[in-house]
Amino acid sequence: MNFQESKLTLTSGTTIFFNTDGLTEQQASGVYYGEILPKVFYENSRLSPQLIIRAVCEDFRRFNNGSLQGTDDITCLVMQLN
Amino acid sequence: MRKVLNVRYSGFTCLIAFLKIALPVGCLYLLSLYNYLLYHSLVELLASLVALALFIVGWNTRTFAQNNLMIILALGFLVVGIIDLLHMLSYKGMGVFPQNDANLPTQLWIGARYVEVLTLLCGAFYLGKKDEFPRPEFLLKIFLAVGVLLLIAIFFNFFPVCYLEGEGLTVFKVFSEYLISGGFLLAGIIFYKKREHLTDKILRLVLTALGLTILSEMSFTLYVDIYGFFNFLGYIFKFFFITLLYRALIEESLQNPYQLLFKKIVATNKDLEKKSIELEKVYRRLNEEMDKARAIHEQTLPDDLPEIKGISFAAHYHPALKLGGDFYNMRNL
Repeated sequence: MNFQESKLTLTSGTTIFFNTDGLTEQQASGVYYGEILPKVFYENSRLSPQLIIRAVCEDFRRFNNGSLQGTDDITCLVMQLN
Repeated sequence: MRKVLNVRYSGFTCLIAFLKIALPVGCLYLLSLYNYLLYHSLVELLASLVALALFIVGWNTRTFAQNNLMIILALGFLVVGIIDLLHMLSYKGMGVFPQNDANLPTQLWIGARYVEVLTLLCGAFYLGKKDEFPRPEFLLKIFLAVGVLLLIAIFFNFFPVCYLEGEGLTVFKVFSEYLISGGFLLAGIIFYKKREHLTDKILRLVLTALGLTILSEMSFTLYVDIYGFFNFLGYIFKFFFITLLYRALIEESLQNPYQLLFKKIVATNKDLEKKSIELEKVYRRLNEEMDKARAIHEQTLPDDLPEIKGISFAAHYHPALKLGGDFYNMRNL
């Protein structure tokens, strides 16, 4: 895989959400979770990383008929600058 | 103890077997004394009925038949049955056909026997040769054509004379009986040589039937009067021949295919069971491998994310199936 290296200056309070495609490409009744994820993230982005992960997981579980398991592997990571 | 029981049992079966033969022979003999024409008509009618049954069953089960012997017998005996029926109706004293002598029934008899021996030789020849076997519909036409030609030859006096009033059987008729017997013998030998294609029971039935039919032919070379003793004996052998033929037909066409089918189903079931056990083993082994792989995968994922001053992290990982392909880590550069 070819990744490009780049530098980014982040200000204090920045929160970044990383995820693999398993999370955003999970479908339920014709809707990709990727269409819902930004809203959930913005609503909870002021919380601590652990709580953001928990909020996203809970929302995903509701979306995915009560299961955290998707058709593909799901990994997400939150990084927050204090 | 067991031996004694066996001896008693076999003695009893011998008695039953003897009665099975003696009883019908006795009854038929009394019947022949009472009215020979009735005796002859009944035996021939029975023969025609069995031939017809053989045709109906053999023809309609032709797609399930394990070997093609039954189809050939079915077709051949259809023709034989029809000619035998005409033979019965033309018998001296029946008064159905205008020629009320013994020649016409004897000619029909010989004609039917020729078709019969050809049928058996044909059946013996094609036994076990499934690939070169002609289509049953084509065979039916051949057999019907043979039957029609034979009847035309007999009723339009092309067929050699078989019985001369006042002199008895002609040389042609006696020679034909020997030729036909030789044919039956040959068919029996071929059946015996190809016995791997037949069940023991069918082979026994067919060989006994052929033996009886040869005895019947031999008796028919001996009579002078068509109401005489050797004529009676000939029809007795024919009677037993028919019963055996009927049994062979039922065994081979009706009971055996189902037994064979059942045997196949049981074998398939056992095979499936074995495969299922094997599959389960493979599945279990794969599962173990998978668990190992999963443990290895999980070891590569960080237990704790690095603590970097001013930055906090949180991660979540959930594999799709047992073994995942996602990796993540954090590093302080």
